[in-house]
Amino acid sequence: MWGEKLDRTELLAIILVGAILIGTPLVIYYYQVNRVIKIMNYEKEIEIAANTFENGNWFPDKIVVKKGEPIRLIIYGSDVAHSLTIPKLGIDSGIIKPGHIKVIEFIPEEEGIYEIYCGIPCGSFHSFMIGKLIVVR
Amino acid sequence: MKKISHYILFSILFSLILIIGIGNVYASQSRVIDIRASQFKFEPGRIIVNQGDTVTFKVKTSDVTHGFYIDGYNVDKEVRRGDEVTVTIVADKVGKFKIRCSITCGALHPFMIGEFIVEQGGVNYVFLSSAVGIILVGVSTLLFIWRRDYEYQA
Amino acid sequence: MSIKLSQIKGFLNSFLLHKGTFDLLQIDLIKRLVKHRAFQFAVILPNLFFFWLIILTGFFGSPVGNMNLSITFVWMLWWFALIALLVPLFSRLWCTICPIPSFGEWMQRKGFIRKKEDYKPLGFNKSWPVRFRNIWLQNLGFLILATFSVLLVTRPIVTGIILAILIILASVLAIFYAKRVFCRYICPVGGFLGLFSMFSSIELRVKKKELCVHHFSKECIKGCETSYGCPWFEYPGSMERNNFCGLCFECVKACPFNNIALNLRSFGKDILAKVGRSLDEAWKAFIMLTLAILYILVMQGPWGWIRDLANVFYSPSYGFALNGIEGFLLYAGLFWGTSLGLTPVTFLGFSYLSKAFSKASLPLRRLFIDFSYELIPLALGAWIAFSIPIIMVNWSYIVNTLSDPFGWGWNLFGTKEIPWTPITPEFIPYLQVLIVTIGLFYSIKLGFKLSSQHFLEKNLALRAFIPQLAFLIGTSILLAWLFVG
Repeated sequence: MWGEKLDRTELLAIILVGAILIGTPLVIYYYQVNRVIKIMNYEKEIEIAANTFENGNWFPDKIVVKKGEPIRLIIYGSDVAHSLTIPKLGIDSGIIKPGHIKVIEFIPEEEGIYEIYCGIPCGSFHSFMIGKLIVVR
Repeated sequence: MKKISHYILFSILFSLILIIGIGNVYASQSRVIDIRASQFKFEPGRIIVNQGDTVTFKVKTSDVTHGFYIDGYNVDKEVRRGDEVTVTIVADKVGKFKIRCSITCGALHPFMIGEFIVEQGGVNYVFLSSAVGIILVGVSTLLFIWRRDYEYQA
Repeated sequence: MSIKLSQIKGFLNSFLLHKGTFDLLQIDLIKRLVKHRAFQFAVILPNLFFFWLIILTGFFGSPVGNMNLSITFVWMLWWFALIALLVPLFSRLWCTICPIPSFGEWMQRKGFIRKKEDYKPLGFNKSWPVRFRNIWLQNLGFLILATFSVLLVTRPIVTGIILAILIILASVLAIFYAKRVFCRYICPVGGFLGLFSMFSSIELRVKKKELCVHHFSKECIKGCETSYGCPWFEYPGSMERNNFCGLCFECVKACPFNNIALNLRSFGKDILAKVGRSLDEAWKAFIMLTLAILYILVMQGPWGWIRDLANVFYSPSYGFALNGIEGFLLYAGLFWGTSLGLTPVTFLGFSYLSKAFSKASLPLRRLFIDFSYELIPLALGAWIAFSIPIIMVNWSYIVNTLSDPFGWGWNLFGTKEIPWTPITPEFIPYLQVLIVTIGLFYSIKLGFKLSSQHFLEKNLALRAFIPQLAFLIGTSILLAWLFVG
């Protein structure tokens, strides 16, 4: 190769190596971006990942929902055991072990900003693990 | 040849005496053991009891949620901070059983290990017989190969 | 491609009973496969995908070790497969499929598969300095990685960085130096692969040495129109040990007489080979034996405070805040002091006893080096014993991360939420003791034969070996204590 004429096996080889080196990250990126877009453009179904504060906190850490519309929260535990609690709304998911998913459903009845806490001690920065649920009209 | 068989016979007898000598039955007791789990250890790390003892573990965690799992004893509990989890088992199986954390608790989670050792009458029978076994295998392997080579030479 | 009855008999004899050798290249399919120019490329390619995925997950995935593919695939799956299966059974077969030096090699060869007739390697093609033509650099590299192993096997990003560094280093070395200098003299994995492959049940050798002696064109070294010649600086005609044969099969492609065989053989044959015994390999054996014991102690022991020392970058959950550098230095000192100092000095003492018991006129250095090779089976046994719980207890993390390589909540194959269920963990200690005992058996068998190489009189050989027996049994009992005591 390099300036000389490529034969067919060498060409196939370079295509395969290139496909692996470039294709792998592209496929991963595409898949993940699509997932994140889906997460961000939720309508009634919301995915939220529970991370410790030092690992990036709730993701996303702000959720905007409409008053009176039923929502489904799909909570993914991503490092240590957490739980999702919104004390003002009386919501408690119960323990979510890392690698597991918990689903809770509720209907926000009143407008306002509600804090999302982790209900299970998750390390030194447990008390900083705060997200926001914003209920709009 | 005679000499070798004497050696082997002697070591077998020796090990038998050892094994019989430790077979004494001790009265079983009830024990309560406080365990503190934290990233990435159980304290105390080595818990030694006798066969037949009734062991009550009182497990607390000082940081995140941990699991309390004992190999072979069918114990798997979730321990959250603030809770004290009580597990009672009868130590009927002899040997060394690892205590493991069963809920991912951080980077070194797979290495969060403690030991629960069940002895017989204060002697670790399993270790002793392993050691005797190792010595027997070692000595007899050497004698066997030496003898074979010796015959080959002669 | 018909298989004769005698071939089946030879295979079974060699494989099951360890009687004689059996040439796997007699099997037409295997021979055609390894002679094909695309063979190595084809086996590296899938592996390249996994390496790339491991680097990506290491850099961008979850910081939680057991939820990230880079940790589960490298330090659980790969490590177990390597030490418990590939090395004992197939020698350095890993080196056949390892993609780390591939970029450098493809650059040198100016191609992936084909061998050109007017081949001139790209790069400066210098020869490696004579002073470094040993495995001391590999010993050093392995010890450095081992010192940080608690970080390496728990922090995905460290694994990602180390893999990337190894690939870059191998490629840069390939620009300046000829052939696979990285694999032979630098690769920290290569050092112990070479040492342990002396024990393995497969070997690549020439069938008739006389043929090679009188054959002057030596295509197996220089290459020919179908082969590049050995990239490992080996000459098959004089090879008596597996240590530096990376099973790339270039020599099989080159030999005009079909004089190369891939033999099934009895375990540990190379340990008795009288060539190539040296101090650097002796120290490798000490390092491997010591580190196996230390790893069992640190990673599988009940002593959490040692883990705290080792875990130098420790923050409440996962991060990288520096915690207790003094403690880490103590830990590093323990690693380096025991593997480079304590174990060799203890072994020197036992070798001195061997000399004294047999009243040998041999130099102590000779006995020390030669007897150190008897540690290989025991050390391998200890490493396998160490690796067993990794797979039997934590296998579920491997299948979990297969579905969610980055720990981002994916579930590609539906294996994401398979719960953590150790397989019969209560029997692991017994299995570990059994494997160490098997290692001890081979150590004694081969060690006594090493002794017999120096003492023609069998009683003297026995006397010289008695202190060694004490050392081997003592080490085995120490290991047994770690498992069941």
